[in-house]
Amino acid sequence: MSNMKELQPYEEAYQRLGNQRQAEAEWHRVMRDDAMWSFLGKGFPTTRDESWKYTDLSAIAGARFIMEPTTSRVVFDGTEVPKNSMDAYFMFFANGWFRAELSDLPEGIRGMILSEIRSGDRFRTTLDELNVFTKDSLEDLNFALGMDGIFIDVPSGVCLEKPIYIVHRSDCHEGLCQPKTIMRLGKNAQAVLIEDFRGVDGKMCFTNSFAGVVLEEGASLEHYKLQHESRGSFHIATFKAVQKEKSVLNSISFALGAKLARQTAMIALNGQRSECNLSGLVLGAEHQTLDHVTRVVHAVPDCKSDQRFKGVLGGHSRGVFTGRVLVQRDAQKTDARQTNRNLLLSETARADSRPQLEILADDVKCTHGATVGQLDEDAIFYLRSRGIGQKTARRILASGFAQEIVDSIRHEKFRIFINDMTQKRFLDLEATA
Amino acid sequence: MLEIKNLHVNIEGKEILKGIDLAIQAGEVHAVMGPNGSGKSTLTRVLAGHPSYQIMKGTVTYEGKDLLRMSVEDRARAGVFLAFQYPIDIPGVNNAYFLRSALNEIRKSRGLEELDAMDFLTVLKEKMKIVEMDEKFISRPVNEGFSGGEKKRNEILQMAVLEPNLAVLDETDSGLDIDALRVIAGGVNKMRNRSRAILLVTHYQRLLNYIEPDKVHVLMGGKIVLSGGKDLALQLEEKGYEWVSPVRDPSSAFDA
Repeated sequence: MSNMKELQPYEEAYQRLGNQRQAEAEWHRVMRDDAMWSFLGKGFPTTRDESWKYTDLSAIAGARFIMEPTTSRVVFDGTEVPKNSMDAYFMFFANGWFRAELSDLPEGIRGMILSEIRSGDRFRTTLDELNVFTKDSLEDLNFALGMDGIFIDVPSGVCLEKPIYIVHRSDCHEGLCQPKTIMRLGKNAQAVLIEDFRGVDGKMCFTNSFAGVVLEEGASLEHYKLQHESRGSFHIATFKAVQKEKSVLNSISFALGAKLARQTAMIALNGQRSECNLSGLVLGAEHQTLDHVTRVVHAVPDCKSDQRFKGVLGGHSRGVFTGRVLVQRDAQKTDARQTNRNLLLSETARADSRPQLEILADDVKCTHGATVGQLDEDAIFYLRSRGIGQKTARRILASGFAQEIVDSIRHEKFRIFINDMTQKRFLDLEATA
Repeated sequence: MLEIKNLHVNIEGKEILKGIDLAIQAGEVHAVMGPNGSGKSTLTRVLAGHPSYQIMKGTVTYEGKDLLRMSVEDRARAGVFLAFQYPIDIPGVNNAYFLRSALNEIRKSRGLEELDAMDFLTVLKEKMKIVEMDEKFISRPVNEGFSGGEKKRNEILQMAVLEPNLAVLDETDSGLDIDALRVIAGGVNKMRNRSRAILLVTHYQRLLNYIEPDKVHVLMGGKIVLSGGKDLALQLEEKGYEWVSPVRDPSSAFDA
């Protein structure tokens, strides 16, 4: 339990919201109030909470953040996003604020800016449907104080040809950024959603984001999340999805930046023959803590889930993976797989892996595996015997280990973008090794 | 080109090589034959610089340089190549990238310009013909999911691309069917030339039907116990290693 002094700035920020709250729809105001009370009741989690055992938020709890960071005047150009190489619907958030004038929405798609939503029935329904998991206090905090966000409503049968590429850029030192992305995919709709969180060297920010998607029957979503915040920053993100019959979700998380980051993915397979594939790649260096939490709930029969997470950890970095799978009593013929493999590049790096399977049905196929290892000495010798130097050999092997996750990106242009970024990261690693 | 003198090598305190003497000139092909456990593979790995072995005594001179003092990669850059008995899988790293990295490191060390991806591909496709390898192997991860024969072909492909001065082939014939053996031997023969030395290490004589050696050495108990011309291999095939056993005991033939 956090002490009241830690929470005081958040309470004050809530008081300051006053007038803005009055302008919101009744239900929205109630939701905000509930979230605030819930947050104040729980406070920030500590390492005594089982699910936060390895990820210590005391630095966040003890810091004083700017609750209403100023929006940045920075105009995004092609050097910062793959705007030149990728054809996408680009949307921009600066320090948690939506920059409508820089963003474009696909035609025929209803996009709503959350701070301007006054009624929004479909938005409300979507939020209600996403309300199937318990909320932790950080999600509460986002719903209590987060102002801006976007609601993307893709109608039935619409297949978006271009990805929706959302850039979240944080450059307000000590600013708290709390954006939201809510998405609804109608029957048989298809989309690619990319969330790109980035920072600016030397600026320490705290991002606490929320993304939620409802997939109607037969809908399919490719979701890519790239986290490359500045090295001093904190990044907490919650991603929730509710899947109906025959929907397919492929979600890949790349954790490269921040000092401390956690990505939580909570997926409810609520419709028969729905399928989700979650994967993630962690590239840790220095004193980074990079944490992934998953929770996949098989609520009905005949669903598939596959989780594949990898970590490459150097320096004093720490990778954490907690993979929960719940197969409910009725969810027969479930096929659930999970692997977490970690490669430690230094003596001081560390990986903690916690598979947590709870299986209440009897006719299911569930597998899991976790490994923590080092580079294979025989493989290093093999590369060196071909003239490749020791450091380069290590770099090639480490990047080869990570390649599986990069290669699983189906969108070709984004795959190339991420590949270039991870390769560069491995080259930096080689240079500092 | 290569001169090994009185080489003694241990692994984990156990003596494997007990005084090897061997000299190979440029342009020659030598075969080292011997029963299992005689130290053949150890010899090849010591030449490549495997870190698990301790050199207890002796010298290895390669092109006038002290080979044993060179790092693994420096040996390769100086033109020493080992075709592995058990090539290693490298998941996630494609064959072309791996080989281009290797070739460019070697070129760089010799003050040559690095090849870009396109130029390299041209070279690679040309070399793949030597070992009759399908072009699909260009983009596949190194050795991952390759059959035994494909792995061995891939070793010889690497040799063809890197063009070593001294090629050491460790049991390259093991696990090959007759067609694959013919192709691989053909590849090695195409690479024979006046400036290149090849050291073949093998248990069986049949490889030598395809690659004709200038000299044959018999390695037993960590020592070269007999050297001769190519006919020696035929005699071994006929009479077995028992025949050259340094501690020949007529009665042991009956025990076996």
